[in-house]
Amino acid sequence: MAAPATQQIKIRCNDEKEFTVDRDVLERSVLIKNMLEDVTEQQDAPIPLPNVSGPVMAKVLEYCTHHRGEPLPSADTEQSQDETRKRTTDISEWDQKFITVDQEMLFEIILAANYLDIKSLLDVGCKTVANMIKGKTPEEIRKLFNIVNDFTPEEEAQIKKENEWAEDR
Amino acid sequence: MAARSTLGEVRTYNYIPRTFSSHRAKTIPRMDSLCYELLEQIFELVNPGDLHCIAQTCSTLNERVDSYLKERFALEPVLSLFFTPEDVADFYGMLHETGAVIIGTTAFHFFDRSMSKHIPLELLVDSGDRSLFHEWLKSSGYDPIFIEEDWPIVEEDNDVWSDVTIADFVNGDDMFVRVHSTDVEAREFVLGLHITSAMNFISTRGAHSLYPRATFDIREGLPTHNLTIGTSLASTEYFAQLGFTIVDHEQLARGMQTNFYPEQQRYVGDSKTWSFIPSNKGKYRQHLWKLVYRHDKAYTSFNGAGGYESPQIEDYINIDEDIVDAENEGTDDDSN
Repeated sequence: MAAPATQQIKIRCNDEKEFTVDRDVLERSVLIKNMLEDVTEQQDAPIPLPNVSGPVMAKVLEYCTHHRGEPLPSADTEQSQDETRKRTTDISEWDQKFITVDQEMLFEIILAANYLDIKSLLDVGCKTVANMIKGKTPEEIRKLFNIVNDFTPEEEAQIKKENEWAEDR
Repeated sequence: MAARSTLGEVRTYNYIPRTFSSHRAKTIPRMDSLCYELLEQIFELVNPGDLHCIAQTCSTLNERVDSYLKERFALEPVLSLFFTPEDVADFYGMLHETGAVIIGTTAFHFFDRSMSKHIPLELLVDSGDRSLFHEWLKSSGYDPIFIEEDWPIVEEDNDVWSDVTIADFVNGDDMFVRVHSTDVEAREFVLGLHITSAMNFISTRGAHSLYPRATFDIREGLPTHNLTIGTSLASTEYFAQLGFTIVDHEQLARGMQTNFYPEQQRYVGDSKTWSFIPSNKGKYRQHLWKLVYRHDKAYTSFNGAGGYESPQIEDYINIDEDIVDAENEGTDDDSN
């Protein structure tokens, strides 16, 4: 007996870019999974994703395709992870290679993962940012993330004084 | 979508990033433009030292880090695991009045941001306040399962340690409270613990971790007592089970002491301490101490072998409060 054909779903990004993707790949996104479950009749119209651009969605789909079939985190496992949580920022080899992108794309992936509700991808993005921050001075962090120092000299002096202990690194 | 702020009000965050709005010019997403919920996830992954560096980058991140620290390093949520809201207020008042502190696994997991209902509440109270705490716990639904009477445990041959008695309580939800009673002043007691990773304490006036970088950055502990003695073994094994590296004394003897275990005069609240002080008023008394690496002679109680040099916390000196205040202006009164 032939295996049932995988259902193909169309999505449309905010730049009109469309993708046709296997349903199980798309269902890595809890947002899309819930949308699909709410629709009882098959629809040919693409699912609009107004908060994701085509290039970012392509990266997201690359991630979802690689991780297809893996169990989605349940509320129970999330709670258990919270309780025994260690501040691990380890990233698997494949994920690390995947997330080696320019900073603009990194933050766009984080925002897309948050919007699409793909927790594992969000974790990878946040761990990457955390790893970039670790051990850096405020000035190095500013430079790294292009953050504008908007403190007045007085504010900066006060903040520096309050945080003196954190500079003993 | 809404997120709870530290002040209790509900904040509304824009979860539709401007970057993707077709009605606006494309802007590059940046760290300081992320919503609080996303920043919070990043903050969870870095240590307080890094958080304070982030806070110094710009006003937006300063505000975000401040909210996060107030939320994640607050005492009330810890106490709420053990007591009803009414009892939390009562208990908090009792801690404040008596100067009792939270120590041990509770204090460690508080700083580690991994506190859960499976972690016991460990208290250090003055011997004179022991009955007060015991009776209060009973009235709050806790049953005593073990109360050590007045026969003391004398911990090794060290002046820092005095008589310590332990009482264990459990309630109907299996929440566990351990009360250590001693005549030793709280900070001295903490400095006499068997491993640097355990040297953390929380009072109502502040939370302090005395060897934070070793403990929370690299998850490493330096034993300060003879590892063959039961309590020393128990403390090191607890941290070993959490994945900690227990520093090898032979390596230290060969001069491998690091920035994490400075051989210099220290005081609670100094630049190597992580301190979370809820308000900025008053003074607080501190003790000086020093980790001493005895290169010239063996620490005779260590392993009985006499072949190793062992670091130990040697000295506690009450110093003039004015000197401390001058050096450490802005900390809270932790002495009364």
